[in-house]
Amino acid sequence: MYLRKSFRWNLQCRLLILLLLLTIQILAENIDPEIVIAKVQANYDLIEDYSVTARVKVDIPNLRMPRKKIKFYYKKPDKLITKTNGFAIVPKSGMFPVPTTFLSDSTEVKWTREDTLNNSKCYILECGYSFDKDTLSNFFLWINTSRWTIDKITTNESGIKGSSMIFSYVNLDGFWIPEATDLYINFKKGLPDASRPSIKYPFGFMSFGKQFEEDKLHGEVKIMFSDYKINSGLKDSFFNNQK
Amino acid sequence: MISLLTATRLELIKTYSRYRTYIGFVTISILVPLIMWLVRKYGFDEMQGNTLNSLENSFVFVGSLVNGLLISYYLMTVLWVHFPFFIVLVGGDIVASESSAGTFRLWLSRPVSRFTVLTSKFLATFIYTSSIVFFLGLCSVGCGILIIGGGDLLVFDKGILILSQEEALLRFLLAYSLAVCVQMVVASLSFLFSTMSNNSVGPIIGTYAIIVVSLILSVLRIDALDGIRPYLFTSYFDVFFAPFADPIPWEEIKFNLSRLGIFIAVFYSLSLISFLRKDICT
Repeated sequence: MYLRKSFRWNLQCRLLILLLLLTIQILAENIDPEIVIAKVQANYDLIEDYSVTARVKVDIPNLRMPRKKIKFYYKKPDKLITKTNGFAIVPKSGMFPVPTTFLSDSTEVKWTREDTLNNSKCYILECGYSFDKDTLSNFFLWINTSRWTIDKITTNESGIKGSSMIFSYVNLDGFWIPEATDLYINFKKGLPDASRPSIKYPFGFMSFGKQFEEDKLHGEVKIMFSDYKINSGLKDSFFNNQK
Repeated sequence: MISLLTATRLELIKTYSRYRTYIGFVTISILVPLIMWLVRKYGFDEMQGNTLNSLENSFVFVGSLVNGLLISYYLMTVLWVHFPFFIVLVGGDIVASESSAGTFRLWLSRPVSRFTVLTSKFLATFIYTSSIVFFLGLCSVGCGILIIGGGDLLVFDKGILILSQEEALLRFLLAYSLAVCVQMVVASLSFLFSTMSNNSVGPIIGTYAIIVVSLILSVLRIDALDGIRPYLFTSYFDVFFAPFADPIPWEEIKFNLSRLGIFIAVFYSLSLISFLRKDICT
């Protein structure tokens, strides 16, 4: 009788401890995404201005362009000048992965899980405008927990395959800044097949209505950054004069 | 005997001492800079930019698509219909004017063969054609870069092809060299008519009429015309756009050039037959 009571008490205690541990574990894993984002943002808050040279290589079906060198000049809050010889295309969000460029006030962010990327521990945050079933698009930020940088971004968009951006970093004067960006992108609609001017079509021909082949709906862009100058004191007049 | 070289030199002096030779040069000198200035002042609604719209969600475009090279590229379309006028103006006149003036009687009394006379005139036509085509090229690319500015050239070829300025300039050089061959077909046709006529109006109008009719037949996509299209010289007129492809379709260029070469050879041979039989004493 005593033994049975003791056994029951022991079991109850063990269950209670297990429950307590589980609760602690769950609470511990529920990381506040706001804090994570703030830590990433803090990495860039001290950067007042920068200039950088980007070398862009584009590999998109139906678009062939030579490797381009583009010079970027940025000053807080929103002054930006790009200089290139001729014409170039660059990804909208592949240049400087600062959280404020991805997240607006209406963006909802939630912590999803933990994973490793290139042997580094990452928190994965899901960002979107709402998390109901009708969500049109959302994206995932892979935050490196050792240096608090965005190492990878993946997107989900209804109707097309996901796209991804992978960033590699270098430490310069204490700032973790992108050294290279690889962008793998899927398009809803590709570039039209177009032909050069001919006797038949004096100004060239474009088949806008043509159904695009599956292999022509994705592309790749690689950007290499160099010649960083951070907080060099770019003057407002420099940006105004360029306009 | 007067050598072919001397006869050609004399023909060139005659050709370049006529006012009508300079009509084309003057027109190009006025029109091309004017077009470039208008584009600079009022812009240009280029088709290439519209094709990039599908990338707008993911990319930003840095720099401008519109530059002197793009306008020069589109200006090359004048080489099909409009530009041949300047060629026939000289090609149609070079033999016929001497027939009407009666100078052949004097010219052929010298120790020179009819073959040499005709070939020297043909060579002079070729040199004039080359000079005006390259002048158009130099004027359009040069004025384009000076007035609008240089940059990458955006063209259509299996989608969009962006050529760097250095690469585009080399391709323009190749394109205008091919345009010389195209215009030489026009020149040799007008030259043929010139040997058959005693006034230059007939060869000019006749050549132009044939060019227009051939172009219409080449453009119309009617199945019944498929059989005759390979025999129309205008079907090969778009060869000068081939260098703006990647990779350059050398086989296509060789094929088109060989066909244009055949036309030039046939027209020259017929001209020679016509001139050898020509009555210059009347």
